Amino acid sequence: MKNKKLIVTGRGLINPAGNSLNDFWNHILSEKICYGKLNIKDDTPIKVGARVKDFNPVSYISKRIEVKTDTFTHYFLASLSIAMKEAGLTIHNENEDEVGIFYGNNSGGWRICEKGFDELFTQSYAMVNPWQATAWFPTAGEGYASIIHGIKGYSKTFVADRVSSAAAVYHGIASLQNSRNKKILVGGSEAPLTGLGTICYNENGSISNAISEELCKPFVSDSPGIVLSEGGAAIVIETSDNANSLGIAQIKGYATNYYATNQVEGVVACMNRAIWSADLETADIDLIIPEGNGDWESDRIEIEAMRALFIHRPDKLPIAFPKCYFGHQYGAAAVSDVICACMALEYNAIPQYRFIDEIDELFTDKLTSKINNVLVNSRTSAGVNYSFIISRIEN
Amino acid sequence: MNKRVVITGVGVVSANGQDIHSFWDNLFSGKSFVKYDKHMDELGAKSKVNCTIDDFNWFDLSKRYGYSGYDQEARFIKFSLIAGSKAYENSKLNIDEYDENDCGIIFASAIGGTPTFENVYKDLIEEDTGLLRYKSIGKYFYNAGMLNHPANIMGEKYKFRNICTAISTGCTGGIDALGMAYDIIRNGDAKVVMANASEAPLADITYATLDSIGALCIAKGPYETRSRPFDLSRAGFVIGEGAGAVILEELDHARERKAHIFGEVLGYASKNNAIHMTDLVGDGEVLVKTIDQAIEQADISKNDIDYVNAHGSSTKQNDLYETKALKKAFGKHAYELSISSTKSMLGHSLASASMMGVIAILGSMKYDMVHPTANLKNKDPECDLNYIPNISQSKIVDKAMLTASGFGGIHSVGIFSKYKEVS
Repeated sequence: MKNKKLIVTGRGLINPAGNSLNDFWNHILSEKICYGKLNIKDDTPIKVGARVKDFNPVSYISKRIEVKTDTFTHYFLASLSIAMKEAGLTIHNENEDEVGIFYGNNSGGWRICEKGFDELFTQSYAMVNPWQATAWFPTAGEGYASIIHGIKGYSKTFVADRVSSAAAVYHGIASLQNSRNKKILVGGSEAPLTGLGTICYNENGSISNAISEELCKPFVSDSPGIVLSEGGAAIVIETSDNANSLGIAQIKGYATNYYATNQVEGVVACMNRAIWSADLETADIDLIIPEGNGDWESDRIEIEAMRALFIHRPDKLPIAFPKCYFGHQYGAAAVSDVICACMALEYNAIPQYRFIDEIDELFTDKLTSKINNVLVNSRTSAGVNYSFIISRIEN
Repeated sequence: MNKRVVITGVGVVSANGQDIHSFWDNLFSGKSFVKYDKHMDELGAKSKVNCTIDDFNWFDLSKRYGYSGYDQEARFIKFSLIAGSKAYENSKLNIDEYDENDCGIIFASAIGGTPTFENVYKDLIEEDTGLLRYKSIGKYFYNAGMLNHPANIMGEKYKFRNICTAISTGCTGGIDALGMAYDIIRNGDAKVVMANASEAPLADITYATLDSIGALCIAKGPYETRSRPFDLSRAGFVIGEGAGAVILEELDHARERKAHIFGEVLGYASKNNAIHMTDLVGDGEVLVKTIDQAIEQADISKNDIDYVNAHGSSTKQNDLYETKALKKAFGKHAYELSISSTKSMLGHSLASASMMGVIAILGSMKYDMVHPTANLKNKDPECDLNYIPNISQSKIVDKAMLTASGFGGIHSVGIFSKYKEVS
């Protein structure tokens, strides 16, 4: 039952590189570094990160909802309304049961969580705010999105480290293929740039402890690590027979696996399966957007896997590293990369990478032909892999 | 052609037992494990009761199941690992015999390592400045929040190379993990998937937040009687903890290896009510639609359902909403259904509660016996169905349904059947 044509009809993001698709893409193409000193009052080892700028939640949601929810939910709800607008999607009685929400978030509401701890431990038990109960857990994004838009279809929230929103895309697609939904809103968000949030992420061992704006260098061995970021991203995916528009791009292939050991083999198998499921060959891939996050332990596995899979390619493989400009958004990361793939297809352009000469000679940041198929990877250090093929829509 | 999906392994870590037979025996006996909690009382919580697992011996269990090295991990992770390993052991899967690419795991928790977050916060906060002062904590802090960690550990241990993910869907998490596993096998994308749900939410911040919205139990009377679903004097849910895991398997795969089959999954559905994060407004319409969808997928008549393991959380609104939904969905047959609430004895362990309910259903189908709703002395006139008050009943249970509702406005339903060669 994997024969339905799936098209992306809407995109939205709230990102350190911009809160509109145009700003975001222009900043990426101009290689603007969108991170800097965080200036968190608490003592935290993470001094540098990528913050969303010029974001006013009430431009997208009511003041009432804003007060009741955490920043991570604001980012998701804002991204979602931008994506729904582009898709021209409104929910009404006839379609409310056929639309689902698939949402990724890794760590819930740090701002409201710390507020709650402060109320509990410095004030009193009774002072804990009543919104805490429904604002801090990851499902808040899905719950509020369903309430605001009246969405009643099959929906789920994924908490899965760096691949949280990749899992949302994968399982959302499955819900379309097995007819649980006809349209899905897929996205993710994260807002970890608080005192306790940054300390928590620091303990995963992959985050940059740089004290100045030392550059994140994906696929380069002396990269300082992952630049922790925040934001939201959302896309609308519809089956072509239910879509109101021709769409922006097609999700042609998808795969997941988990290789706790032999991780290189796992990444190869996942990419291969995604390419196979799209009815393509490795030679058909025109661009790769890898997980490529600046954590060398993770990056070297991905490089080795790509080398193994694409070694027989006669030409260099175009590659793009959006994360090197705005950091890693964890829950939002994979969908942000899918949006980058859509933008690359739309404009037939990719951001340059200033460290291209320092990475494996297999790759190039120059396009040699028209982009038709983009391979997007998302993976965790534990060995969970997702790969997607985002393609130009066939007539 | 969709594949048939059966359950071939069960594991549980619960206040009433850490093996399935004790779990079932205690449910059938109608014994409540809810008790007074001195700490909650001293804290000033309105609710004074919870349901804790006091005899969980990680030291012995971690040795027994090969989890040394995980001593620092959060309690919900430990529960999950043990429940998962018990389910795996119970399924008699042999790591040398299955194709690892066909096997996966889906884990669910609502609030994961909240107690760990609270302890770290208390450890790092400086009283005089009110600011956090960093000190190295260790990866267990990150693992406590990142819910995929238990799935990663078990996936690695059992060489599951197919799906490995985690969901957080509040109090419907367990049945949602099972439903997703069911879909994956049914569609032919895997042959074995463990669905595992765990929760260990007992922390001051949990009590305070749930108290602040009036969700926790403030009923009067003997402590063990305070979780009293469908009773007129019910007054909020009792917070609990625990984990449950089941092995879902494609029927032919199970038959080929001569696995014991506990039951078959016939259908699953989940919907949002899109009205309110916590309130259940209306006459149960969205739950009715969810039931209808699950029954339709199961391809059975509503009259075929013998038993309902209800969400039955003991809150005023849920039990009434659920009763209305059952009446609307089943019509006259609603009065012939046997209905009971596992939470009447174990409290509400959030994401894992519905997995406990699934395991209770498997016991009912095995023994043709339905466990009671404990503490149901004075039935709410508006809740007028057969909730099996206080004493278990013998009943042929061929087909059963589980209902779950949760924060975020999610309703999920699973349909189960005794395994029969021809459906």
